[in-house]
Amino acid sequence: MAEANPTPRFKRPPVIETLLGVQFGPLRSFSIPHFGLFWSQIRPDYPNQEMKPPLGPEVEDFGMSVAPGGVKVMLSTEPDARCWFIDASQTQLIQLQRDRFIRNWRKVTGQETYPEYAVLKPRFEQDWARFLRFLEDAGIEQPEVNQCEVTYVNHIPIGVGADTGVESFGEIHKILSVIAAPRTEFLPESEVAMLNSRYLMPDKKGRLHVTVQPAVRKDDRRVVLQITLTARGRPDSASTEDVLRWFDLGHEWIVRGFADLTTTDMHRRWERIA
Amino acid sequence: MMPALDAVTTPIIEYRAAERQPQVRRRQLGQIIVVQSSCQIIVVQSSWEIEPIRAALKLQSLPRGWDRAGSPPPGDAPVDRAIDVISSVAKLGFDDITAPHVFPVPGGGIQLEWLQGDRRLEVEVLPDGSTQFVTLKDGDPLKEGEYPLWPPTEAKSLFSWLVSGA
Repeated sequence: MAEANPTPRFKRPPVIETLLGVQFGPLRSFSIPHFGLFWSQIRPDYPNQEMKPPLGPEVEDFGMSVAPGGVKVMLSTEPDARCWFIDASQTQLIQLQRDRFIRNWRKVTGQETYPEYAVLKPRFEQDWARFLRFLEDAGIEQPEVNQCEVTYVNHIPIGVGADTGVESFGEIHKILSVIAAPRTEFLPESEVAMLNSRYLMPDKKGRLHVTVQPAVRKDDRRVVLQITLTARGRPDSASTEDVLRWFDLGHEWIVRGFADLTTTDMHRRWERIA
Repeated sequence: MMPALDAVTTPIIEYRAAERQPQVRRRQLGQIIVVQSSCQIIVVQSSWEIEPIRAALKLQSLPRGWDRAGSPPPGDAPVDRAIDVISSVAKLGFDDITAPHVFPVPGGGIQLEWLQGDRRLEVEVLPDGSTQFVTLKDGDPLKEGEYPLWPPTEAKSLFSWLVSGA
């Protein structure tokens, strides 16, 4: 029987990167040498590594105030670091730090096909299980997951000849349904347009954050509108089952949200099939 | 599906790739915020930024010896710093500023050149990423020194001088 309200799907979605990640209390016993020890276990699948500065904590707060973004200062007595473990194709990577485990999929050549959430979720589950086993074998405490995150980054080409039919940032109403076409009585076409918005998920399970930014892509110099959707919130428990359940919710909010935020004309171009 | 907006804010931070490494850093001159995404983009705030940024990136594709004197193409450091300069000028808030011309400099540097009437501001990014500027009026040099990426008030005075010649 057909699903009553199927999750939107596209044959050619504009997604160029996704991530599934968890945040947990800093693992007290996890230190710099453990990055190498864990890598030795996953190296057949992730033969490359890069060291990065650590990510700051991100927690959805449901208090009254909406805190503006700004400078965040992290104080730590530990030599914090974040390590990327990258597969041979460069499209799959694990990001690991003392309080984060994130798994990314990304386009590298631009020709890769989005592998679908149904493929990415089990890959996270498999790698997360390997990490939990590693911690157990090393005598390190199990992580108490306090936040889950699903992020999708989309690039929509802009400019004369772009296959989107959108020639300038003044025409992003052709992409975003939440922006009306401008009246032409007084204002000229907008020079650029940016948008930050956020939506509460039911029962304070989390938030969906949407960021729209005009940008130049560094690798091929293409002018794009980057639409980033991030769903973040606290799972019911730190169990893998509840983490994966939260991912399902976050993913649903991202795909339904993306479909709501974008125009039917774009859906046709991306070949919406559900 | 979508509920009412919980909040709407305007972006307060620039977001750009600072290195060719697959990592994005969001920075607001002096501030670096690390994000989980690995994609490399340079966020623009003004339409005039687009072509000079693309031109600076394109310089990396120059062949070695492009000047017939063996010069290398500009590397990551001068390209990133040139983009920093362009982005920071866009933040100064001048409505009447035009896009700079972007040139390669023998030895692996980049020159940005703003022209306004009889006034010219040249910013040269050296191969190590350090920056120098010179102002000229009717072709005669007036002032030169290290280009002030920070604080923005110093760069603002340079561009105020430039646009007042329009």
